[in-house]
Amino acid sequence: MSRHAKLALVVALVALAALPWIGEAYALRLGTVACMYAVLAVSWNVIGGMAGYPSFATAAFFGLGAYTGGVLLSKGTPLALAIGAAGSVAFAVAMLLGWVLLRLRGHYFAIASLAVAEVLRELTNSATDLTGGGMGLNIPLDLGSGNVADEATFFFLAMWALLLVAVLVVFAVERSRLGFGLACIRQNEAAADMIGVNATLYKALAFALSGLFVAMAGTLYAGWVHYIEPPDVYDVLFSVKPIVMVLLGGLGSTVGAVIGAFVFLGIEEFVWSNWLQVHSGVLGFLIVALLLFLPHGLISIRHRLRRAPDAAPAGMIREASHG
Amino acid sequence: MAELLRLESVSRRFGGLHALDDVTLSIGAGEVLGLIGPNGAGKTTLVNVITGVHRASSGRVVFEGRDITRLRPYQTARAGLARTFQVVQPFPELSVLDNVRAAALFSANSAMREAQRVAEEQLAFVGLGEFASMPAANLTLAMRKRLELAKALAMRPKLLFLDEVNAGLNSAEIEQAMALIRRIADSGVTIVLIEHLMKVVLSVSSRVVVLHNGALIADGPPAQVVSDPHVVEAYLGKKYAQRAMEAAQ
Amino acid sequence: MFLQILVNGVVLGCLYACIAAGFSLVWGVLNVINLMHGSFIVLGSYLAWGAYHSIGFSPWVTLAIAAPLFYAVGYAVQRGVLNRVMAAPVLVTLTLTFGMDLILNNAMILAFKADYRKLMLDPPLGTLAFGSVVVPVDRLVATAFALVLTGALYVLLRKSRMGRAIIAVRLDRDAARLMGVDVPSTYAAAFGLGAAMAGCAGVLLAMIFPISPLSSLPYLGKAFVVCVLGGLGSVPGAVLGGLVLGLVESFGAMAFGPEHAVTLSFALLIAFLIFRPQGLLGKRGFE
Repeated sequence: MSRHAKLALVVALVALAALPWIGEAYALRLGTVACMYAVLAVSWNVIGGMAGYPSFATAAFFGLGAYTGGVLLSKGTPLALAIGAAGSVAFAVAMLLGWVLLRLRGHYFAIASLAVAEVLRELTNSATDLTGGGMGLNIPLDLGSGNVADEATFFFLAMWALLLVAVLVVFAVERSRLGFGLACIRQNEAAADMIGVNATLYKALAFALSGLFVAMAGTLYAGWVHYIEPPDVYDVLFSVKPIVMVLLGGLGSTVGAVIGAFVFLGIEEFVWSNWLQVHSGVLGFLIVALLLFLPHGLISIRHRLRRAPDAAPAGMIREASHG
Repeated sequence: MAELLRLESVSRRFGGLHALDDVTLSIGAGEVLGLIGPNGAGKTTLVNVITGVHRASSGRVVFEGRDITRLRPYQTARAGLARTFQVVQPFPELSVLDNVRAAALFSANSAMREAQRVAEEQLAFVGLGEFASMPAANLTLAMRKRLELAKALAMRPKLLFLDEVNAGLNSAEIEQAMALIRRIADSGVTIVLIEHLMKVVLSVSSRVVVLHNGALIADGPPAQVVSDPHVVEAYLGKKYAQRAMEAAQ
Repeated sequence: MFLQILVNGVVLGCLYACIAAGFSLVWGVLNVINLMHGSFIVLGSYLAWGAYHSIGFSPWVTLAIAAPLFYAVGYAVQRGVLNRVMAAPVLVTLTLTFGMDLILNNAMILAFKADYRKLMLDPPLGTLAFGSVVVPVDRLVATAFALVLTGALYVLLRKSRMGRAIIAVRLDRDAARLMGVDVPSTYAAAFGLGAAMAGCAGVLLAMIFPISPLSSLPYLGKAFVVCVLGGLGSVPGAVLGGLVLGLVESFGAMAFGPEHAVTLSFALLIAFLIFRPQGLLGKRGFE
């Protein structure tokens, strides 16, 4: 992704911080969800776009973070500590899981990652003493001011800060050895092995990174909504939506992931407000249309308009090599 | 001549199939070893077992005195073994230079700048310097083979396995490839050359080893091995072997 | 007691095999995970319910309608939509069928509402007792038909020309193409068969289980587990996988309680994926 695009994104994000002073409650709520979605998308892109492993584990990490953080918060832990703990737990769990599951490729990895969310959900459901099980968990977070508007501002800025950190970290990874190694792994894992890339370690790190910020977002979400239940936070849609967002923006690109997330939210809000009953059908329709007609995402529109007719877009080569 | 690699009774089974059958072999530093044998003899499997892509079912692989039998491919790569693939395996989206830079970077844990220097050096050595910024997917086959070679060399290997480098090349390209291989050998790298073309094997190798149905059936100077009746039989069948023997008498 | 649980497990297993056979075929031959499979099953159940309560067709009669109907739908979906993305990475086909399932499921909820219906056979079939073992007759009938259907699929694949083309494409797509097999049509036929099996399974299941669009995901989950357990693309694999799952769930329900049955099956899924991804009967290579 070009330097210009990255810089433009950071600038735009910094500008976004002004939202609490120019918008009201609805805009703040949208902004908070938008930032959260963007965190999920950017994180997924690390394992799905950079490493090339189609993970459906985002919901698992989100739920894990929501409950780890949520339980700590309900016991009076300070917010920052709860977020840190949730992130650490998710990172460790993902490293371990990744070491085992990332030997699988393609469909098998996808299903396994999906199954992890299911198992975690059930475990959370069963651990009633700790998590409240099916009756849900109350998180009475007292920020001190008692003012609803202040609370909305706080959570927006918190989610915004998380997004900024996530984006900067992923940008750094892209430029690092890890990022380089992941690109090699994605394009040809056998060749990557042969030149000395420790693929197992790198993939596990990518998976762990894909869970870290997602879990933190889960904790913030739990604090924000004050009440969580297993089916909410382990919802499979939390695994699928980030993928659609990234595909929307352009696979493999962090900037595309953020753009895709914001655009996706815009569409989702619009559909919710106007066609509540068919909103999931419309989402489905959007997905189908996207995949059939814009497989390289919105970013490719710009490329298509400028590129010479005979040059092959980079993504197609990758697709061809997957066969 | 110091021994570089030793295989001790190495076998590799896939289900009921003995892809490698009790192979014992010693390779000395500085040799250019030709590894020949009919299709399906197990030549690529041998390379896969040595580099760790497959685990040996039994036996030991010893490199520079160290047991590497259980090492994984990325570990053997860092230990000093490099190989090219029969079907070339580039990183299609990366540029030619980045392909080689990746090899230099990860095999030796070097810094980014050092890897860049080594990559440019090896690209020039194989004659691909002018294509440095081109995406690897756009190269012709002959150029991809040279890229593969450059990647292997950027790993600063002590032992280099070349698996059918000449497949798909015309005779002019083969001549160029052979000249390159001789230069690599001269620079001190030990080479194992898997080849089908007899003239190439005979002209470049100092020693030839023959694999048939996973077993080593001959090991010696090129001229001797080529006229060994067992080798003739393996390639051409009993009838021709007998005829060759009768003709020799 | 043991015998009862065993019989329950076997009966359940045969039903699971029928649920999964079509799914396994599509996954094994086209390397496409059809996330609409669960919804197709539910649709088949609604078809049986509607046919019985409005026209009076018994479920086994409805089978004869369901099979060609669903085959046609499946064929059209593959030909019209999926064939365009066959060369794309796994992610694309997965997300695509997920999107299509969202549409299908939403449509069903709009049309039928989410509450559960039950196909009440009149007169009810009752139960049969074999010694200490009691089996509801509707399950027995459904199981019998499930086995017949699964067997029919197996025979169709081996004996018919289209079936053999499907097997050929599964074994080696390029070689099949070189032999003159029309691969896109074969893909469409395979997907059609998968849909037909799903629809028919739905018809049979309508006799036993309540019907609702909310059952779509659970059915899909079962199909996944059966495929991973038994191995992809083979009918015997689906049967074996189904039986194993049925037995595991039956005995597991007794040991851990029925509410944990699903978790147990997913844990089994993960275990198999880690240690034996090709399943009990499958061959490696469809990763």
